[in-house]
Amino acid sequence: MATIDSTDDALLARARGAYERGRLVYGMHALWLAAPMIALSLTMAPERGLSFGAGGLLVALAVGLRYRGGAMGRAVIPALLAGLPPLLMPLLMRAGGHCCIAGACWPVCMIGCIVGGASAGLMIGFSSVLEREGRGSFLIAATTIAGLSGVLGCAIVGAAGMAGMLLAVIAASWPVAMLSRARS
Amino acid sequence: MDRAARAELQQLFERLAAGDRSALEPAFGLLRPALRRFARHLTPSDAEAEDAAQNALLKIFARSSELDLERDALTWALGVTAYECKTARKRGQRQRESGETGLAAMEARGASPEQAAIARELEAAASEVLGTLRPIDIETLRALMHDARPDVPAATFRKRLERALHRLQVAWRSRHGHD
Repeated sequence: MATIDSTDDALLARARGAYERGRLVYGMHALWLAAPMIALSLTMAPERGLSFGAGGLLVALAVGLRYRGGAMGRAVIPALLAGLPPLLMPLLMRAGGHCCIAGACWPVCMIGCIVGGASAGLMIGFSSVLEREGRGSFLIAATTIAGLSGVLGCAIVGAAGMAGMLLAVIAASWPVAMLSRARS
Repeated sequence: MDRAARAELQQLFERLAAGDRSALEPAFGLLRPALRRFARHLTPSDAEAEDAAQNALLKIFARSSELDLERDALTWALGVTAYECKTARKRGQRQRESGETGLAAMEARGASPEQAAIARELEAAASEVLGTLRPIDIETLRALMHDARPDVPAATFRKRLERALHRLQVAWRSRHGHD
């Protein structure tokens, strides 16, 4: 391997700076997905404060983790995509009234949160199969980001909807990831 | 750059693309001399070669996070450097056109008659190697040098350029024993 003499130190420092700036730009590519999701939530959800809070946290995490890199960085885009069902389903189904299953009646958008959360969990679980190292980090980052994306949509249902969606994400993603790990 | 170093560089760029900062310094150490040598073949003076190689290095590291891992890192890096050399040459040409000419300009650039002779020899060596390439490769490299892209989609031109640079590198290595 070639060695670096002292005259190249300044150039190496500039290269380091260029790399870090490049990482930041790379991290900010996540905004192409996150920004429309937040805008949709701000337009449609009644709790704007919650949408602002969850949206801000989502942007900070998505950009920060992609900038940092590693398994957590790789989790960002699959997690944002997995977050689309729990974001969109309650927003699309909110005019649907109630649905009764086995004697218990639920608002349709609440069911949208749970089904959307389960879909997100399955997508995350299957995405994690490709991770040979750092699968745990990948799952933690992906679950958090997909959960925050889901909160943007399930805010219209309230605390029960968000809790149901988050539980569904975790309940579906981790077993799928563990099963696929055992098989691979 | 030999095959082992090239494979090592590929691995280092894969690590950089994944966000592993510890790969930066060894990648820099491998790439810096290779780009400097390559730029020297494509520019008329040491100063222009140094400028082009430095600018190329900074651009390469800035874009390394977005590197397509299917692509060969060295070929990509040489492509970036070739563009930087073209820019440096144009800049130098503009300066020469607007400033002094002849021997005085050569001295102002810091190029001695010996350096000019070396440059001529290298140019002759490059022409010799270019003669062994396919017509399509020569046409592609000429289009790059004269900034006259043929009427083909950008992606097609990029692929052609990548192949031409790779073949140029292989041809140079087979004749002169190094990159």
